[in-house]
Amino acid sequence: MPTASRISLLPRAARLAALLATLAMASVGARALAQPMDTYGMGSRSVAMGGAVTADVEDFTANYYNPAGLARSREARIGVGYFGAFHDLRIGGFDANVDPVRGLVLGLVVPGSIGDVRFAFGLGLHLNDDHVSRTRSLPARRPRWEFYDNRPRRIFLAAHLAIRPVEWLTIGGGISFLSFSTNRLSIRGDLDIAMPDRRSRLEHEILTDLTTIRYPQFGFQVQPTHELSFGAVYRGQFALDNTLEAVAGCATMDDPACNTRLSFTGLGDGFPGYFHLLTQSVNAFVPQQVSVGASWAPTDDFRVNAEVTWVNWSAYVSPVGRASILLRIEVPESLRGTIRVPDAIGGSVPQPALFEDRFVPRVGVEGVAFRERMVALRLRGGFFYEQSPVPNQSAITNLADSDRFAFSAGIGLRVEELRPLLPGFLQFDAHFQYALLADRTMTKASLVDPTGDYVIGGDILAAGITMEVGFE
Amino acid sequence: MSTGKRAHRRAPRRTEALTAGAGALLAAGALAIGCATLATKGGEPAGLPHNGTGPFRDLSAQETGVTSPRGAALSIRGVTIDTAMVASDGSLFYASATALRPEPPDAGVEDASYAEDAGPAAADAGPSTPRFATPDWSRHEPRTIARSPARPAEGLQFVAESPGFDAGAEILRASEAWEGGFVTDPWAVIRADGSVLLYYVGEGGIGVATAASVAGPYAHSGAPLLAASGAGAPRRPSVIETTLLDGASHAFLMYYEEAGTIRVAGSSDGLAFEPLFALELPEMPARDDRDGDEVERGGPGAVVYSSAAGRSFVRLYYESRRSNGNTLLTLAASADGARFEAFLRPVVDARDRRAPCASLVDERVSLLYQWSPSGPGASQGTIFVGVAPGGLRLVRE
Repeated sequence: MPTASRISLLPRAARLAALLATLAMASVGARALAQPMDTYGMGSRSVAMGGAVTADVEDFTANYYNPAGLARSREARIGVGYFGAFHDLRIGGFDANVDPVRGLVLGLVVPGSIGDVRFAFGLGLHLNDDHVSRTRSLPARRPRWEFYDNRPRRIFLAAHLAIRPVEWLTIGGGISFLSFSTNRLSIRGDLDIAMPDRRSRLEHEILTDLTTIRYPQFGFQVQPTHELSFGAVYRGQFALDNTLEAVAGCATMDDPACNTRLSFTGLGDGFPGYFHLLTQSVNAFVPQQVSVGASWAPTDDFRVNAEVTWVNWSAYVSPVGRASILLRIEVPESLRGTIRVPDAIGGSVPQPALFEDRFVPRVGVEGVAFRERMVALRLRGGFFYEQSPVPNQSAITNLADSDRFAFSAGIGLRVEELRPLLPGFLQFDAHFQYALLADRTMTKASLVDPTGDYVIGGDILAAGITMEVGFE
Repeated sequence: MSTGKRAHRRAPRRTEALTAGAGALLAAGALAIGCATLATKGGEPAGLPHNGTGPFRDLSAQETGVTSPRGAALSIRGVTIDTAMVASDGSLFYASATALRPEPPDAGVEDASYAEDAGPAAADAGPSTPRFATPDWSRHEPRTIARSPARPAEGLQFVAESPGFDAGAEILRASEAWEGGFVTDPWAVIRADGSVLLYYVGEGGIGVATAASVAGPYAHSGAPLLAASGAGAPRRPSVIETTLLDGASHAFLMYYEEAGTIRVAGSSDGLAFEPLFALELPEMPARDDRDGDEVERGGPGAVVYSSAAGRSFVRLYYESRRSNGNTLLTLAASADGARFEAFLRPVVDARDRRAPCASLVDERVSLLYQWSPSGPGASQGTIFVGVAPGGLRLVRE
């Protein structure tokens, strides 16, 4: 009978699979940004278990960890949570003052069925408190914590669809949306050299576009027995090309049609100038990843998860990009002894990041500490180790990163049988995570490098709460 | 059965309690989230790693405690100062002499004599100051070497001692025939046992005076360590102990100037040196037409630096003398004291500084003492001091 059932389901499953494939194909090649979940995780239960939930997730955080898990849920779920991560990161003995990351996490899971095939639709959202998006284009030499300083400050929205064509298999996929910005600054008018503050008349124009980008994610889960579950997920690569252009004046300075003329006044009859700055860099990059995990629950009250994630860091594009600066000032002959205009202003060229691929192992455990008829209290713990993919910064760049040892713990309270108040359940989860970034010494190849050798290291403390409501 | 009935009677009350608790938790969470969701300004690093190579910013009078000219570490009224160095105990060794003839009419007015040398622009502007100018020492009393102990760093941060100095006491005067009546270009090496090797220059070459402690008395060497020859007179010795260096050929290395080049000599005891070779350094390119081309190198000042990674190497600051008479200070570094990597950029904006000597405050902060001619016809000299990184403010706010 099971065999017959599977065969009869295949055409409908194939149609749903085709829909998923279409969604995935629509997003292939799109470029997007880093999101905070790659760094801090999503949802208290999943973070508390060290993120080792690829084979064992069915709440709204499946929108990040494995969309196939959406189809495991029999209830419609709405989840909301809040988390904060606080950094104490140092570079060369100084506090790097990496801003905390705080934000709301929201999500829902809506199950349904077409005939005998169950499916679920999921939405996940991360909304940072104080930065919808942030762009920083730093000088090539400026040291920065590459994975914590700027990359997590994004809005993240994911939409996924999952199916359960047979009882032991779930498949899910979809796309995630993020936003980035492109900026252009134009300046025109008169700049008085003698009294720039009082007599200059300058107009400026700033054009900024917030653009949506997307990337694919898909995965599956297999449950051969009640006790065992396996899962795998693929997350696509995404990157942001960050462009900033600043223009003052017209490139063809003597063109009468020029309407953005820049003139220097205050000395003699005035003379025209032109300035053009163009920086192009990758503001954030997240490589493609593949996670493979297993979950074993020998009893209803205990579960242990383990997984490993392959991260294609070798494809990483350095944030140090290309910068070109052009300055032209037509200084009158009489003033050339006074005003010197450099022949050329040095820019920068992209520097290869030379990161290395990494395997990140994760483990998590969950056990029931207390259970009554309608209440269950669960305790959780987790760990992961992320070997830094960043090589020794021996040249001009100073991308700081070191090995991360992350320990997490959490608690979950589930209340069921709440009829008539609620036809479903209430779930409260909380987590705490401590990450140690081991001290690491960066050694310069050049003995006259102005930055010199330096030591980096630090800690990250993160905590959060999540509440989920399930409707039967 | 009775237990089961009690459990069923308790269930509604428990449900209500849990619901109330959940509601309270949600309200508290919403309040916390609402308060937390306020935008903040992005953070900036409290500081950035730097190894103090340069460029150097001239310190202010507040930072040095020396009122004029700006950036001076030592200025003595009526006394012409020659080159100087700061030893590892923080004291300043300098050569100086008193002028024999009456000074120009404006020399008695403080600051007036420095008006022509107020900055790099002024240094570029006038042809009145001869290029590579030095005071006319024939119009002075014989030069002697003095030592000025470090002053406490009152009101300053980052440094344990003030970068400025008061006039010191004479510790060495010419007494040997080969010295030709004067001593100058001091360079002191204070050894682990507190004894001092004071290298200096006389007319006949480079000599050394020794003392049991930095306070002296100093005993002259009977003959020059490196004597003047047909190639020119060796001058501006700068000596380091190489105990922290890997692969150094000698226990002591001396860098000195001879005939427009920087040369190296080695010694096992610091008292007898063997000339080795001339340093091969690439020419420092001009930034613009004000820099001119490099025609000579000289005035070396060496220091052993230990990085945060535990590596030790020699930093050698030196003069790049230009075809238009300017002098730019730059840097080279070496792990073994013999093969150097050049910085190829100036470390000081001014184009008239010479005889650099670095004093390391820590892994990040360095002070650079420099000599500069000043006054009409370069009749005087001043010791300036700069700090790297230049953004550092030594005055405590």
